[in-house]
Amino acid sequence: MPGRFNFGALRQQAVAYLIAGVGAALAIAVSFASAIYEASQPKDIKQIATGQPFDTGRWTVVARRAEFGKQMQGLPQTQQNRLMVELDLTNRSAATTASYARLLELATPPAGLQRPMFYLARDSALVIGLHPGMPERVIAVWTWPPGAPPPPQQLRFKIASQIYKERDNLYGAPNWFDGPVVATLDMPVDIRDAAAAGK
Amino acid sequence: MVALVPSTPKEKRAYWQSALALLLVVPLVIATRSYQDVMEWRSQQELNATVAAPNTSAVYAGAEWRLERVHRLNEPGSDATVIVVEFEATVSDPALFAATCNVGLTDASRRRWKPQFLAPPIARRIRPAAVERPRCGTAAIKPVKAGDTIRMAESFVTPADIADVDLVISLSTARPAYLVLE
Amino acid sequence: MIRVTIAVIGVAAAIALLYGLQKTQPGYADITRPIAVHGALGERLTARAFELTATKITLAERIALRSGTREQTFDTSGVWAVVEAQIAARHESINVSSASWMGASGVRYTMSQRAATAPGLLPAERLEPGLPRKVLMLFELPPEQVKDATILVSRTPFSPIDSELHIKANVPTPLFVRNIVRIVRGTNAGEWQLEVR
Repeated sequence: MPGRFNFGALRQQAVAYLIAGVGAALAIAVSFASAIYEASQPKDIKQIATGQPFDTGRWTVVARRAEFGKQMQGLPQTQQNRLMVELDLTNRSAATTASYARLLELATPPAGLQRPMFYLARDSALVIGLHPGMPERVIAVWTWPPGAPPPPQQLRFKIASQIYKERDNLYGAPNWFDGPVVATLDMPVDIRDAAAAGK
Repeated sequence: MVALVPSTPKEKRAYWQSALALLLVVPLVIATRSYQDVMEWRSQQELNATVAAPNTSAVYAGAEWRLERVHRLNEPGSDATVIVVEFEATVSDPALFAATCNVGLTDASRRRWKPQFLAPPIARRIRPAAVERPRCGTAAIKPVKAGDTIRMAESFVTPADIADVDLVISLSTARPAYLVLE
Repeated sequence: MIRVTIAVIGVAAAIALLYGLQKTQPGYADITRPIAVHGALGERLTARAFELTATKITLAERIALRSGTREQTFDTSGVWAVVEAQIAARHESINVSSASWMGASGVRYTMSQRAATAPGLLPAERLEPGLPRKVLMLFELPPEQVKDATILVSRTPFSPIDSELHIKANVPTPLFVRNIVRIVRGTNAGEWQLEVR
């Protein structure tokens, strides 16, 4: 290339790029700072009681009662002990859904506890989907691990929420996502069967 | 001012040459990135037909195929008819033949009837021997040897007024080529 | 001075245009929504793979399934909407598995799966070309969602770019809710009929 290296033009180009980059750098810094700030503010967890309706985002939950034993009226009988919790659930979203699997969790589960199965009290059969705006009585059933000790008289449950995002991060499509635990529930457990208590 | 705009003739020529090269490069990138997906799509389509005239056999996917019999079972009072098709294949290349099979029945209107999972009760009553035969595609599960003749049957539910039917078979190893037994 | 003003106006116009484009950008759900085919009760609507005519809507408090001597009853906190339809596959054998009731507010109620053993239910029927069949769709809804509703029928629940039937369900008000609708199996396989009380 003829002539000397043009330092003046290079410096001007560099300044132009720098000015253009300032906006982008600011945006990155702000989003990073706000993410850290949000993470540092823990949401306060409410303590709710049986019979108190609670809004978890997608579901309105009212806990009714809990029972431990081999049989609960209306459910098929089994040989294993089961923890059964009766709830009234109302779907608050705009479509029929069956995403209540993570709604209720034991605060201190025994080792080997599987996910609960949900039965519709009306039919005494597994629920396949709950419709919006229609409250239904549902029974969550945990099969208790065979060797585990029976639950205490008062059992603590964690209630998780779900968040609706108009545009998600991957496709920009509207969707519901698992949220944080928003409430704890202390329920008295009605322990049936002397054998179950003794085991 | 800042030298971001091409000014000299040399720079101008380089600019336009690069723009023109883009016209070549972008389609090339699209073709390279989607080549595999296009090939996969093509392997699901039935494009090239091997046709066997009535009472003749045709070679397809490592075997010689022949249509044996077509049974029509009418139930009075129903608008549907059950068609049970018996066909056989003499294997010459077991590796090609052991593949999942798509079978269908077509007629002149080019509509396609898929086979029934379980033979309808009328077929089991009237043609029990045919219903006993395995369905197409079991060679993928039970291996076959070269020279074996596999006798198969499929049952379909079609309208009662259906006219000439052809059996269309395609194996996953041989698509987009497919077989028509008339 | 003029050049600066023009430059400023140009930048402002560009910002306004881009802002408008960003605000009106269709979401992912809109871009991939199925293509709607609109119609009403009694009209034959043609989707890509099937044709459907919704013939009748019956509201009931309870649904009963009778097979032989056993009868199973399903009640609900709202009402049952029993939709009868004639459906035919167009080109090849298919299963149409998705139907939902969209209320006036846009809330969608998918077909109820509680009475899954009932004969003639839409998702259980294998449709062959040339053989039209009558099918049933069962929906559970709160009574407020019955008026001005649309029934959406498509081949699969997630069918981007495929067609979806939007059938205007003109249910006359005041709502006439029956006591019970019985789905009774016929003598021949696959036959069924409704008893409405």
